[in-house]
Amino acid sequence: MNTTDLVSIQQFCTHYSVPESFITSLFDYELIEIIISEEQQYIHVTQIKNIEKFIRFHYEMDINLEGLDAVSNLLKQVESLKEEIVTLNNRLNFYED
Amino acid sequence: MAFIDYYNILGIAKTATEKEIKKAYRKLARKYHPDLNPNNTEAEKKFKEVNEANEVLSHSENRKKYDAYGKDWQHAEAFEQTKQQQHSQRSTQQQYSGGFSDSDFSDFFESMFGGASSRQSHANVKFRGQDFNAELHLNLKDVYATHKRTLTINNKNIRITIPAGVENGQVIKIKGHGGKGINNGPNGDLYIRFSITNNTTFKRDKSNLYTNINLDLYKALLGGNVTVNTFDGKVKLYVKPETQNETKVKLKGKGFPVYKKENQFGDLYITYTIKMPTKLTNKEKELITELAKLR
Repeated sequence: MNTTDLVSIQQFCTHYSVPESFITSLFDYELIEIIISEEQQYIHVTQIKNIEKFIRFHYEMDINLEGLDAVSNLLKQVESLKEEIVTLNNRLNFYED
Repeated sequence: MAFIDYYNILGIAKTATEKEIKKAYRKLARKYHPDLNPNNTEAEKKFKEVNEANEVLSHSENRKKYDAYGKDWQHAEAFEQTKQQQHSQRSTQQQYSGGFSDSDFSDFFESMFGGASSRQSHANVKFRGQDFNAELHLNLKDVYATHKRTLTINNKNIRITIPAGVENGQVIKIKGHGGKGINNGPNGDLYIRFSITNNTTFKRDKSNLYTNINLDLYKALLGGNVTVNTFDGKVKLYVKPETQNETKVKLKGKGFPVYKKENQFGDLYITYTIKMPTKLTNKEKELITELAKLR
């Protein structure tokens, strides 16, 4: 397996000063994906931005894991609604003179 | 440089305990944090104020200094010596709250505390820089062909490629052109939202274009050639005899470029609007009456 785009969870947690249990909890809540290769646990680099966000939510704003799950779902909905608004606005412009 | 009432920003009394400060900060952070309010500049501004207030009031040294000299900040000069000592002792650790740098603090804060102060937790942690958002206003004609453009973002010039066929409201990501990373972390990204004004006679729906053409009655009845404007020039079109009003014709591949698909174009839909002649002469009236009798 190509591991160039993978970061070991251990390394990640040391780097961000967060316990490994936090990352596994995010995985348990299906908020992130964990890749297992040769008995080592990794995360894909594309997930780092999201995990940083969860770290901020949890450690700076005191939002618990259930809250992270809810916030994550709501933010996804906000994004999709924004995209829908753009599409609808463009379509509306089409009918307006 | 105006005095900033940090207690007022956090909505707490001057006698507030550390716990109360933390509670107030977290409550407001949950309301205004940029992660929870994407692309909301008002919330971002508010959060920076809240963050700054927390920076001052949650650190006992800073709070003491603020309480003693805050209202009379001009006398903070007296601190200069102490500040310089502190500055040299200050570690390179920075607080991270969404990628803010020293420049995100007010002049008032900078003058009193000399920039972002250190924080105990997450020390020396590398964080991605803040993502920047920008809006680029273009005309529809500008996005008909792929071209390069130089933008100035936060006093830095960056050259970007604007792909043909980009949509109004579409957002593209320019990797690494956002805020600087904290403690050598990677830079954030730049998100550019396109605001496209259509000042042409064409209507656009994704890659298809729509337009109306006026036809005179006789050409509609007898057929003939007309010259129509497309987005990239004129084309000659044959109008069939007995063409009805509101007839639509499709010119394949004469629409707008398909986003990120080179040499692919949508279609141009033309609607014929038949214009009735006005101010008829007596002769015309006579002939039309004759025609009417034939039907």
